[in-house]
Amino acid sequence: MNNILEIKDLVVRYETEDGIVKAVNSVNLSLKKGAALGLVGETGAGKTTLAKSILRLIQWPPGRIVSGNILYDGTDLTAITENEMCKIRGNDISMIFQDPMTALNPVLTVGKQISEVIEEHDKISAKEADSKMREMLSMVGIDPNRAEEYPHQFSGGMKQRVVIAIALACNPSLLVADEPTTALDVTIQAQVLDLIRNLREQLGTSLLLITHDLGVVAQNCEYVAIMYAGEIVEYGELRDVFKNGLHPYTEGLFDSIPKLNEDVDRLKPIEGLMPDPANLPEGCTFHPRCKYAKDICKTQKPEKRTIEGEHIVYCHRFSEYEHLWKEGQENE
Amino acid sequence: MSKDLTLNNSAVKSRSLWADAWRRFRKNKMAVVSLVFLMVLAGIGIATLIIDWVTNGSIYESQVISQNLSQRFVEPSLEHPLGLDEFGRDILLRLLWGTRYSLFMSIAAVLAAGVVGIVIGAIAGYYGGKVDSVIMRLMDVVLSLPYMLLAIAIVAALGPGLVNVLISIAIGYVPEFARITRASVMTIREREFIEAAKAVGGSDKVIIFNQILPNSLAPLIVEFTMAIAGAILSIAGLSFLGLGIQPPLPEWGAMLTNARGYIRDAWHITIFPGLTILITILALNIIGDGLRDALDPKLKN
Amino acid sequence: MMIPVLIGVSFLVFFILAVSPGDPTRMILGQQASEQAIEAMREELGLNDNLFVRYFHYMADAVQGDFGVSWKTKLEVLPQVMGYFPNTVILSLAGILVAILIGVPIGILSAKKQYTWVDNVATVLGLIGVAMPNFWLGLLLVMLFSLTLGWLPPSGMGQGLDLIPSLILPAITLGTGCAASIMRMTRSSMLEAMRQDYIDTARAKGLKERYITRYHMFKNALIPIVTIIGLQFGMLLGGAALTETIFSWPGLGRFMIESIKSKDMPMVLGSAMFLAIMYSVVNLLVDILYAYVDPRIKAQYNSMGGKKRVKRFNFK
Repeated sequence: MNNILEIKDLVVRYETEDGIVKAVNSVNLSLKKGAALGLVGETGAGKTTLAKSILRLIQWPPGRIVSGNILYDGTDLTAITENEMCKIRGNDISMIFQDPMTALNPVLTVGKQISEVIEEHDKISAKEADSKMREMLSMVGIDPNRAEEYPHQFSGGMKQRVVIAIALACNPSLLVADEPTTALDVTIQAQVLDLIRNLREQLGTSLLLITHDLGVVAQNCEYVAIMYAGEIVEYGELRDVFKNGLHPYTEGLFDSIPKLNEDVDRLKPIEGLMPDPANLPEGCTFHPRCKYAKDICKTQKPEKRTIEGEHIVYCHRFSEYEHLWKEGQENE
Repeated sequence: MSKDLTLNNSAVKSRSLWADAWRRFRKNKMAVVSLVFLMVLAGIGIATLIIDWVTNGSIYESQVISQNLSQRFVEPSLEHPLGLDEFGRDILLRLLWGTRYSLFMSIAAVLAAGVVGIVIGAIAGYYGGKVDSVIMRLMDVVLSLPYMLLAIAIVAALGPGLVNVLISIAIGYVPEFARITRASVMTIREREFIEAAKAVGGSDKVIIFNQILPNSLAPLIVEFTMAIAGAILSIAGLSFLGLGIQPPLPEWGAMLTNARGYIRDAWHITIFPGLTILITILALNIIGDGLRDALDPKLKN
Repeated sequence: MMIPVLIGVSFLVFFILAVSPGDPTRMILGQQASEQAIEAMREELGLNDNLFVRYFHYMADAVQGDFGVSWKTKLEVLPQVMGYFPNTVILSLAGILVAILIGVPIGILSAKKQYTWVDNVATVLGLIGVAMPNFWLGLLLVMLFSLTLGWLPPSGMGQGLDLIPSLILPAITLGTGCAASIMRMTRSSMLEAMRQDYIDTARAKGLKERYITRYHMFKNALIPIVTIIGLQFGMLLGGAALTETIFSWPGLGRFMIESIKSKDMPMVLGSAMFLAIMYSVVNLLVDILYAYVDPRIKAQYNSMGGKKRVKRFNFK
């Protein structure tokens, strides 16, 4: 089993008063053991929903996994009981959430919040759990004597370290990190990412890193997946996607980053806005914003196309319809 | 002209603010039913006043006040749907005529509290500083007593009777109105200073009046509704104890004063006045909740 | 901080009752008394002094335990008040206990099962409970349990073991309205806590849902709940008069009402003063309890050297 995580045709919906929100639409994704995959997309693309689904943290009401499978090391997480899922959470798969300021319980000590997860999963005495907890604090760079303090006594960066300590306390094989540095200062960002990288090297943890920051992906991941409106539009090794991004959205993402060696008057944003997930466009969900859009894009969803090796993309331009674009070129 | 456009936009915004709220309120079926009930009740109350005026109080005298001791404790029947009380008087008619004491007096007391409270709150909010501190300390002192105790103490001091009850109820609600108004006025005050500093001109004042004022009216309206419910309960309580509206006036709570002695024989004397109080207060609470949700939907979910 | 509050409260009560119209001297000496006697009495009672002086004298005496003497019975006020007060406390404690035992669990259940029939029923019951005139509820309970079923006594406070049965109906009467308020606050506070990000973190740790409900959600929801329990308890102390009257419970509230009716001002003043001060004391205790439940407030207390005005929630 080479893949620690395999997501197959996952569909997640939220049923609200204002309509059905299609948060995740038939996503296919896999992560190799020990590797780091960066999941990139704008706010509202469904990244957090996807991440939460892995741990079955989607609350019903109003959200639920409608169909699909999530295979963790061969086990289908959508098919096991809640009790079995509890054994996996925090133990085999851990998650780090986006905002460290609100991720910790304000009325429990920091030490308690770490030893909680140790005591839940490891069959050791309270005393041993306590010393393990303090070890974790040191490992993330916090003075173990501060274990009796409360979250409000720590800064944002330190809170995130506590969150990381909680996540890694039971030595999980997979860490899902949802924008772990977005809410932090740039300098703290670097520290936290370094910490995650070091811990990964020490413990061999696989990483699913969710972010909208391509720079962070470049420094920390071997694989990249681009997500748009609940779907994966492109995936591949870091080098392939960054140097040879094919999907128009990927193109747009990279174009919109200002480059040091270019002198420009205006930044190049992607035209238009992310579609309302309760009201997605027909056909390819990106077509209203795509400068290459043809009629086929408005009616038919693109299927997966392998470009080279592991590099895949979901776009008609690289499918059997590619002639539609070549024709245009010949005519010019 | 951009100024005119701003004027128009804010005017449109303020109109639709109320229309929006009304639309949201309408969706709340329970609230609408409650509102209808209340309006019917109020209508009946007014009708009784008109009837008294037209008949010179004769119906009131004969049906509501005078005793008919030969017919005590008659149970509910077709002729007297709610039965007769311990003095032979028709309970249904007494309840209807009692509306002016239980409902209208509560409204009057809360209105009085509102006027005084809003003025005090506005002064405190506008002038700030020492004036604000002194006024707010005073409000705190009034709040430092449990409401019922305060009302009882005032009635104890002034003696029972219509006006004194009104005063004792009203005083208890002044601090809340003052607090709400003060908060709103302070917000407006801040905005005005900012606008003055920017020296933009007339259109902003209009925005302030059209945006901020509706926003501060909202909590006042909700408070008003809830306060009336509380006032009805308090007046009923005081009258029940014999400290408020004196018999033979048909205040709903007063109607229950003697019920205790006759529980064994006449269940209807106990049930119907209490039920009326319960339903009225329930309706007001539902309306109040509905108003709160309609005027600020952010609070709901 | 306690002293200014107590002074304010006591002055307010004194002020209200001191401005009452009516001449106490006539009451004490009777209608036949001579002008001289009246004047002498007025001097003795200090009625010719201004308000503040009278207040000062009153408080000076009160602090030494002298609350004056009843105009009717000539008995000393304080012993009378102290005789009735414990009964009110017993009733209030029973009432708040009933309220907590009903309100909190239903509130938690209602929050966890939001959108289901459990929640809807609980919400409706809450609405009715809050709207219910408690004196009417008392009468209804007596009608059902005392007269029809004959299970429980309709009035009076039993001695010894009989205390419990006689306590049940009054406690339920007092407690129902509170239960409804507590239930509503528990529910909304729990809903608020349930939505927080740290609940996601707790679930992601693989902790069981029950554990999370108790230690993560409820512990955080506790703060507003404690506040409202405190406030309700204070209100019970201050407003038990109605329930005590219905059940002929020998408490301070009922005694105060009777004193009002017999125009016995020293008794009224003593009773009111006592109840008002108890209310303030309870509120202050709630403030302190706050600090123990919320470590953030405790930190404020510690850093500010003990006394700081704590912001309290505003609700009905």
